[in-house]
Amino acid sequence: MKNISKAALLLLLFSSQSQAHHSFAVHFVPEGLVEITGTVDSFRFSNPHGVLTFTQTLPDGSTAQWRAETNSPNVLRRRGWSRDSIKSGEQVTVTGYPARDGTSYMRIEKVAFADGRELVGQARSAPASEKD
Amino acid sequence: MKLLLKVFLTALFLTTDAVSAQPDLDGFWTVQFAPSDEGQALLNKLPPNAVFVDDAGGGEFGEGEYGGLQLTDRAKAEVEAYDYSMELSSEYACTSPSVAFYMQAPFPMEIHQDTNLIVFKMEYFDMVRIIFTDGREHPPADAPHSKNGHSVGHWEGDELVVDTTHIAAGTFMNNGFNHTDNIHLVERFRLSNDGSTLFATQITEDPDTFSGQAARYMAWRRVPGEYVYPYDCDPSFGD
Repeated sequence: MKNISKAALLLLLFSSQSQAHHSFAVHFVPEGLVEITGTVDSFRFSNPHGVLTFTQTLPDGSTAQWRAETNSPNVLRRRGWSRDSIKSGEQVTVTGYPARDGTSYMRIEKVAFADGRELVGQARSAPASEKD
Repeated sequence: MKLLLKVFLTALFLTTDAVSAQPDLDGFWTVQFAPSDEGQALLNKLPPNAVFVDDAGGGEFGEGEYGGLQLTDRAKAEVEAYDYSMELSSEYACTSPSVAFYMQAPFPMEIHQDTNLIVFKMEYFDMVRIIFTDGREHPPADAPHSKNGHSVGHWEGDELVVDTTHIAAGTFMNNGFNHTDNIHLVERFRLSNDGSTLFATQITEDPDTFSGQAARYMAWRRVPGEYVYPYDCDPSFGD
């Protein structure tokens, strides 16, 4: 008799929406979120993944370029995101799952704005009903 | 002449009655993650030796994990040579998956049901599959293959049984593990008693890729008034 395993349910909780055009599990680290603050350079909101690029200013004055992908914009549209949700020049703090290859790349968990607004991407603890 | 008309009308009545007795799958369906007893009933019908691949609806396996399936030497070699970095390229970004994968992806779908065919309009990669329920056979083995494959369906009581062949090679687990164009897919669909939930199981065989049979389970809940959004895949993701 087959049964849906507890492991699968946990997997759903923590990696829902990971399946888009490439594997979340292969490309990103599910534990240990990174949080980076910077200024938005561009935001592209189309499938298979939205892409946010932003510049982080380091304490010594140098800068680092970051690229952060969203889960599918179709999923995010149903949660209130749009192509105008993030604008160039805005100050944002991006929390996300870091790339396994150590590059400045991440899958977005959430984006926080200076005015306190937040956009949730691939949430770790979203209720099952919001995972599609 | 009168007798002929009577026979025709009787046949028409019986046909119409049979069609109306079939479960109505029409509507918008979104993935349901919570398990249910009614879904378990369909799971219990899976072949006892099938390997249950527990990744449908949003779960997935990492590099080197294949859900308990025994890969063939050919498939092992292919996975070992797989270049994951290629997946982030614009060339790969809009490569659509096949029906063997997209049916279990965590995206909604619309079902449009008619007497002789059923259309599944998938949000994921804008895929559209037609299931012929008019009694036709699959085309010859050497006919062209596609990501949607060729599907024929029939009703076994309340269950829609769909047999799909002619599926073009594509991803099977989204981690470098791909199926060949010899894959054969059999699905069973069943509505919950209240019509609010659709359950399905998938059994796949691809002897060039793995031993025996693989099985997956999916469920969707019906959402009135909703519709599938365009996916409009944009390859510039990889730029």
